[in-house]
Amino acid sequence: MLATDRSLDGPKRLLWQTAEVREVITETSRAKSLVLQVADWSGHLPGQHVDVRLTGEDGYQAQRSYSITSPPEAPHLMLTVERIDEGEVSPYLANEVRPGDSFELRGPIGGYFVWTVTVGGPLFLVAGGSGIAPLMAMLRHRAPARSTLPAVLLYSSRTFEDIIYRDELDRLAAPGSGLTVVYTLTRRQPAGWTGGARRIDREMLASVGFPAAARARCFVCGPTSLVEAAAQSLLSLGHERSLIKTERFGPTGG
Amino acid sequence: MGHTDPLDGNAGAGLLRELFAFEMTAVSVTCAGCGMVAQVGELALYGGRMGAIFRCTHCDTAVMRLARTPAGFRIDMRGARVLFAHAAA
Amino acid sequence: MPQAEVKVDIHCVTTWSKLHTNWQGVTIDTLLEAAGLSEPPAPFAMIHCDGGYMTNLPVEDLVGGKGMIATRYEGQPLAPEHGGPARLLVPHLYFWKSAKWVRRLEFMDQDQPGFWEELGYHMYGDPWREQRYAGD
Repeated sequence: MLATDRSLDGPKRLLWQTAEVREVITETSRAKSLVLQVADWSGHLPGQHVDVRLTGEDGYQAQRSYSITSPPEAPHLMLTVERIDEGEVSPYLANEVRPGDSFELRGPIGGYFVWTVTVGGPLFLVAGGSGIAPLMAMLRHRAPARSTLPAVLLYSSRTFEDIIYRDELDRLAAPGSGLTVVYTLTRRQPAGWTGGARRIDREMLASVGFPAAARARCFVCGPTSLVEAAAQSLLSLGHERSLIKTERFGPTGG
Repeated sequence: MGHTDPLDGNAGAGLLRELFAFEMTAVSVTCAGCGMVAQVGELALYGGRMGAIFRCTHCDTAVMRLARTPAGFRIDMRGARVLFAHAAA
Repeated sequence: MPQAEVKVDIHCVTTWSKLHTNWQGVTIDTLLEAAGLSEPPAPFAMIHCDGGYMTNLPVEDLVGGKGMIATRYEGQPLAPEHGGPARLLVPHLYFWKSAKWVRRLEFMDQDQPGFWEELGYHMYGDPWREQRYAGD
């Protein structure tokens, strides 16, 4: 179902604006969150993204999309960038950027992969690696409304240290919050690990998620292969196509 | 079919937003090839840097193709029979 | 059919170039000969590919060893993501003219725009004259 918030309309033209970095937060060894000040920010919906553009000294421009990880209620815009070694933009954003630096940004963009509490629940979120980014905006937006909206997050990472926002997710999933977070680690598990220890598959989605009859809104985000497999599994479990929304990050996962 | 892996149409939202003054990804489109109705954001997006090709996930018809050149935008929509931009409730 | 092997530089329209790539396949000259054509039947060609993709070019840019149907890349069978099993290779033009997943060569009396050409890219696409867009 479509959200009906006015920010889906947006300004007449989508202009490039300057985003100034206020803070850089280290999330994992490869991922950082950037807290940004954007002068004429018009607001956004959880799930939307921005385009970031870097211009080199020779005039060469590189552009990438990043999900907005802050909820619309937050005072500053936040993006989370995971460094991709061969990337053109992420090495700068994830390694070099410092408070006081600025870069070009435009948004919010995207009207399809969005969710707000007015859309309703239950909410079934499936994330692979950095695919957690847009889903985190949804969960951070959901937090004050938790009493009426049951939610499940199934989050696949390579190792324990790769889980982005782990502490905050554990806090959001406190008893009584209505949110269940299930982690699965695909490459290596710490001693005594009781969470999932394999790639997301149909059986895991069935045991962790809502039954199809619950008519949960499903959002799947991450590397293409994970998204495709999870979406197919959800369909085969009886979830309606119209209730499943996917955001593929491409083969490298963002 | 031999294509490289597509992204979701939603990844083309920025490019569409340069041409259309509203969010195209939430618009429903009827495929001229097979009649399937889908939101633009859920079509399969191909193309890369030359432009964007939004294909029907059912019959692979190119529903919309666009390219931005210095002269401006061209969008070929022969693969789209009807566009339905839903009214805000 | 007799195989040909070439080592060429390829020029992508979004400004990168990849040097010294190795391809193997059948030249268009060989194909025309095998089809019993001593001369190309018309001055222009439209290359038809999977998924409705088409690209146009003058036939004189295909013959004389300038174009081939490539089936192997760097010594290996051409992978689907690189246009396999068969793609056109016309390295002296921008790489979008080297159409992937080629199915059919159509000869035309007049030049017609293909897929990207209809959307504003150059009809010919000479990288040395930086002919990326129509009017360049």
